[in-house]
Amino acid sequence: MDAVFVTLQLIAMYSLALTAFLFVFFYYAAPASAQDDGAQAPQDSDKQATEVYVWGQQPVSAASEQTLSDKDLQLRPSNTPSDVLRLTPGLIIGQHHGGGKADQILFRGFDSDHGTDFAVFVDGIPVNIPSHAHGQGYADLHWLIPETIQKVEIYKGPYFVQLGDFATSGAMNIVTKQRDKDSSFTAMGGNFNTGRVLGIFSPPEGTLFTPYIAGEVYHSDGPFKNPDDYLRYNLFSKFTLASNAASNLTLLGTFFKTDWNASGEIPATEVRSGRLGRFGSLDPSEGGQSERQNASLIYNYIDGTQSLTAQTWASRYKLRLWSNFTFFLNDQANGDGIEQNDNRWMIGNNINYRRNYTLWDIPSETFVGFQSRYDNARVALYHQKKRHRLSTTSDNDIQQTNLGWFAQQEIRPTDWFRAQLGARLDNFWFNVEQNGTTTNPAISGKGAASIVNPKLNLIFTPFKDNDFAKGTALFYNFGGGYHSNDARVFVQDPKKKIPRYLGGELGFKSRFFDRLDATLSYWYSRLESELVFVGDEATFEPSGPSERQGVESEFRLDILPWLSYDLDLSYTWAKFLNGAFVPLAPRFLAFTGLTARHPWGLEARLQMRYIGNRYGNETGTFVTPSSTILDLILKYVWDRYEFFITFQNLTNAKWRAAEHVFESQVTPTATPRTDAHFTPGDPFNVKAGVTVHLW
Amino acid sequence: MVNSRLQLAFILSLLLHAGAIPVLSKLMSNSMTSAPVVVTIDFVPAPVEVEKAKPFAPAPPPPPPKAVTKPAPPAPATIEKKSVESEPAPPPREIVKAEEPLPQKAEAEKSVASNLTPGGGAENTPAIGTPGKGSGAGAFSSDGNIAMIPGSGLGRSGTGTGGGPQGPGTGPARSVGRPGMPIQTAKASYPPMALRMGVEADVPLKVYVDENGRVLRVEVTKTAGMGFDEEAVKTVRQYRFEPALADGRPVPTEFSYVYRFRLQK
Repeated sequence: MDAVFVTLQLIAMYSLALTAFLFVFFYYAAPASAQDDGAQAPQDSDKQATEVYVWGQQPVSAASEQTLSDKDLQLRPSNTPSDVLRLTPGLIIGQHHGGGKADQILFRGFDSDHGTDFAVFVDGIPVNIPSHAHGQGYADLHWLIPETIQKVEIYKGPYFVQLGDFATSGAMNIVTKQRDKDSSFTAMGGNFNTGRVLGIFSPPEGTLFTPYIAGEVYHSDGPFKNPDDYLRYNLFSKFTLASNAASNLTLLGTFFKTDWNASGEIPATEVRSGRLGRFGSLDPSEGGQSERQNASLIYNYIDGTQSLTAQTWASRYKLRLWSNFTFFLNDQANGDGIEQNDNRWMIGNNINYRRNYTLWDIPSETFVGFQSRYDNARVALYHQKKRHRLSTTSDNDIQQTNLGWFAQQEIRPTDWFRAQLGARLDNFWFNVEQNGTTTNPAISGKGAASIVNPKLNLIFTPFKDNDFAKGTALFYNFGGGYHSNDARVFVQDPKKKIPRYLGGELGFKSRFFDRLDATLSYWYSRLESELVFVGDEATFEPSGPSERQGVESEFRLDILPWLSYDLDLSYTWAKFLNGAFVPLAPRFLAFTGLTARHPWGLEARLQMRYIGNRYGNETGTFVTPSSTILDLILKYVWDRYEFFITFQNLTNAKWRAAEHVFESQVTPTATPRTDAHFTPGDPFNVKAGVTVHLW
Repeated sequence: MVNSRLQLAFILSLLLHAGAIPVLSKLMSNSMTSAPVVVTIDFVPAPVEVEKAKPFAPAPPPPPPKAVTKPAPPAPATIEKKSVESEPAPPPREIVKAEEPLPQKAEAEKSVASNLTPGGGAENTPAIGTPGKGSGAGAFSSDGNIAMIPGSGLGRSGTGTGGGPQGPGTGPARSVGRPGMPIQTAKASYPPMALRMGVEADVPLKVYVDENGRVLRVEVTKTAGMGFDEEAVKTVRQYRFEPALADGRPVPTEFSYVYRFRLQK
């Protein structure tokens, strides 16, 4: 109750502060608008004018930090919006539930499950959900329409002050466009009853509130015997309520609804013995339904020396997830089917302020910010058979508040050295209440916790640009990060402590001969032990301290003005301090591709991704096999038409999209067996479509 | 109980924001239309106050000279600065004309008429090299048609040492024209805050140069804000120009630029 009260007050205070801020800025930031003299409203004088290009390199704090533009996205095969995550070099995603569930994220030696250790944001709105019914930090990105993306900011490691909960191994912020260049319509179809229609409405600049609206309907059955019948509706809308040269006020609204069937993960032994097809299913009643709506009001202000972002957002979220992981292990009569139910709304605020100035003749920058988030959820776990509830395993009301405060000071004492020193404080308040009687012990209680993390980035640019190398920079990063624990663990954990993750990184970045971009980094990290909530059983499980390290490299080579080659390589060592392996943690990953964008209008990309084998369990007795997947994407632009065709898995390789090792019992009478359970990856398939630019 | 209070707070917050939007947009529409804004107006000590016309010669990418009164035959070739041989030019004087249509013809004629005072009667002596202050660059075609109006208000203040334009009606007039060009440029740097925030922008601007090649003023035709305007203006102010020649004489010239600030990918 106290926490709720505190939250309410803070939210109210914040709303007032935001309103005041907006008012003051709009009022004073407005340039005196009286200079009408002489300016004869020249219309298209640009055409005759001499063009002068001024190139800038956005400053980064780590070698691995980068921003990708929408252009980088266009020639990637995109089945789901989560494919955007794949743009992060060294990150792999896996789907094991018919396409509708949040993808499993594997990155920097973490099996981040559905987002426990990888934070995702869309226009500043957190995608991850804490104390989620299925998994901590569950990040379902399916409410994003990939065509609306303007750029993707990628952060690896815990070195960035503006990132808090779940940004342990890294984070991604997806920024959507303010408007599109035109309105368009896209239709696509392919194997497995896959179809997609997309409409984008973006009238020219100058229209009242500059509406930008995109709507999408997607359907796919997947390669499975039991069709996924995955259906997704998405509506995205953005309005520029007010804007001038220095600032704008944007309203974002999104609507998302989906439902699907799933074939789950099946035991490898059954498949090997031929008793079960690769694309078969042991419990065809698996599946899910989900929806999320977001509203967000964002105010941006930038001038020559300062920038301010103020945002308030609210989301409504629902999920019902029917799964059966262990088949008949626990209940031979009804099976082990479960339903996970999450129903919540969330509200949050972000304020970031940056200012450049000179302090004792040293160019400096101060970056401060505040973030708040409040979740009000009802999360429950039921025992079910064919989607009919049998009993309630756990049922809780959860309210939790997270406040984050950060400050970072940057100094540039010489032209070859930049230092950023920062700190971040996060406060949490939890309140858990029990609903009714449940077969699991009742959980209720309150708790509060805080964690302060240091952040340090040193950037050296000792080498002057020359013919051999340009923009050479060396990076040293150090920082602490964390992921919050499930509220249900927290109120029961006597230590009431948020486990800390400490990491450091050495990086190098340069551009050679004006055609090869290269990035190299070595990183090392440690995570404290913690108690992990197992959403599928609503129980706790201790997890020991762990240690991870790895090397990463990225290369981009411009072969011809229209032809480029890219290669990302990473190798990771991850183990618990007691010597056990971190199950499923990625080891060797390679991603490479050849991209052509010929001026004639033909664009093509041939890409390969290799996932080396990795340990399936802590003792290393199970090994998840490696896989190599080749994809080809072709696109032809003609007048207002864009024709595209995507060939995925060219070699028809048999691969596993997701895998977990645990004990299961396939029939009521079978003997329980520890086995690798996997979801097969898509076989060779073709998708083709056309985009028409309307006006 | 908790829920109802929270819901109330949420609804209140929504109302607050909903209320703020119309107020804000009103405020903005009053004061923040993105009309073209002159960023710097900075007069170089000029002989006489600059009048408000558009007396400037063309911008670097020379738009083909056009006649106002007659369909223009091909423009005379660009002629070296010193070569002022009397070269029979096609009847109408080449017109060095701003890309934009001049405000009004009537106004233009008026302005030319006034320019005629100092220049009109002068002999046909295109005094290159001694362009004197305030040379009216007005042209006067042989048949009495007004063919050209780049003459600026400055012309009025001609001290008389500046040669006038072509003489009236004495045979084929000569014309020596050449578009202006920058002879010394400067490099712009990316505004640091915009760079940090990853913002790109275009700054279209017009540079008004006097007949000595000095930058008189810079006008940003569509403001980009965020420090971009200032940076672009600061940079072009360091430029040095060779003004356009009309009839062999340097004239105040207008140059158009678009500064495109782009992030390296």
